Amino acid sequence: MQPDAFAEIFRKYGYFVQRRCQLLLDNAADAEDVTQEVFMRVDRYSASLTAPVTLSYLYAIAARCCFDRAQLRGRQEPVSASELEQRVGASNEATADQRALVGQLLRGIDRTTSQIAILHHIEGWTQDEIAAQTGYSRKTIGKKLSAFAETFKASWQRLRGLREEVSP
Amino acid sequence: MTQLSAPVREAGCASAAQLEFIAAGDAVPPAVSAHVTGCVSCGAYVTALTQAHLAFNAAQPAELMARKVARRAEAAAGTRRRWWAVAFAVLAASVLAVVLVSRDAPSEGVGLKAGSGLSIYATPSPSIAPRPLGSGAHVSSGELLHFQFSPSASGYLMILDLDGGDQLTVFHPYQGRSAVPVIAGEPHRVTETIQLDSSPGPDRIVAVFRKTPFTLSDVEAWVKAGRGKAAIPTLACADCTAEWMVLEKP
Repeated sequence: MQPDAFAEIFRKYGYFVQRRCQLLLDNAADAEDVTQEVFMRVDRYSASLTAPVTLSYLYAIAARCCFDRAQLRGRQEPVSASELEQRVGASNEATADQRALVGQLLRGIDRTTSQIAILHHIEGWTQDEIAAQTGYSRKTIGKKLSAFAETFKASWQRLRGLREEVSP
Repeated sequence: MTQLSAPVREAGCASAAQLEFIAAGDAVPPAVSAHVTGCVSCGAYVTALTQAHLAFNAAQPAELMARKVARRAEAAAGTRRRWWAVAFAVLAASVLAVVLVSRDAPSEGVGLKAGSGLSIYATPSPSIAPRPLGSGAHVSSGELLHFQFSPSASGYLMILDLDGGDQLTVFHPYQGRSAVPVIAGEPHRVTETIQLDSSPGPDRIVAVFRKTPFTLSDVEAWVKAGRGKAAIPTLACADCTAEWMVLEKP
């Protein structure tokens, strides 16, 4: 890909890809690194692309790269109480906490569930829309989201409990 | 990077992803565009994303990122080339090893019953390629014998020698008392190399194979029964197969 064309794609989508990576990886340095990896792949496969690059396409690559990175990192180190306090204290919005928690949980589940959870919880698609996009049955999507919700609920309760403990 | 929270999706509102597509300048269905134009919460989110996008581009020039990615791609390509070189070297070494092994262990040998096979090779010196032996072959004291056994079924193997002085020696496992396991289809390369001594010939070598474990005492009497006889005795044991090879020695 020509440098000018590459720069144009990054100018248009770089922010959104890095934002997505940061949400999934919860680590700024990793997010920047994986963003570069995403654009490297775009550059590498640009000759074989038959359709223009879109944000939807880049999000799909970003999700794959993020999960690869998470696997490379292996088991996530437990988040310390102070880190959690800092994370929770960064925003008074419960939704911000929840989104951060979604990102954290996504790194520990299988790819199908994570794909569906991303589409639903991060991209905001309804279950019917996800079924239309992915080809999974509505029932499968419902089951996967229920399982994810259970995990989320348990983690959320632990997080809230910890937040109360660390509050003065 | 501060994470912007998408608005709660009300009925008829666009998904967070669609709002991000709009902020990035990608096409969305006309109905979605029309909705966002008139929806306060969706419009506010798109505006916030657009502003954050502009700030990001100001902080991280695309040209700088293009250079970083180009350098990284170049480094990755170099690594791939090195891996190809390593892979080629490993492949070449493997091919060479196969060729050498094939030369060391010719396919000619002595056929065994039940599709299994004992091969014996002799060489006067480790530096000289061994020659395959057949029953009745002439060998000399001091020569080195190598053995290979190709089982058609998994089981147990013992290789014994009865020399011209009626001395019984277990060649494999050398001086052992229990047969060693062998695996179907996997050539069993005998690690021991036997140097022929000056004892009188002929040497009667027998490979005994059985599907179940056995010991020297199970076959010793039978092998010794072959002393001095021109004919090879039959093995009176269930599931046993045996192959004799007589090596003439001056």
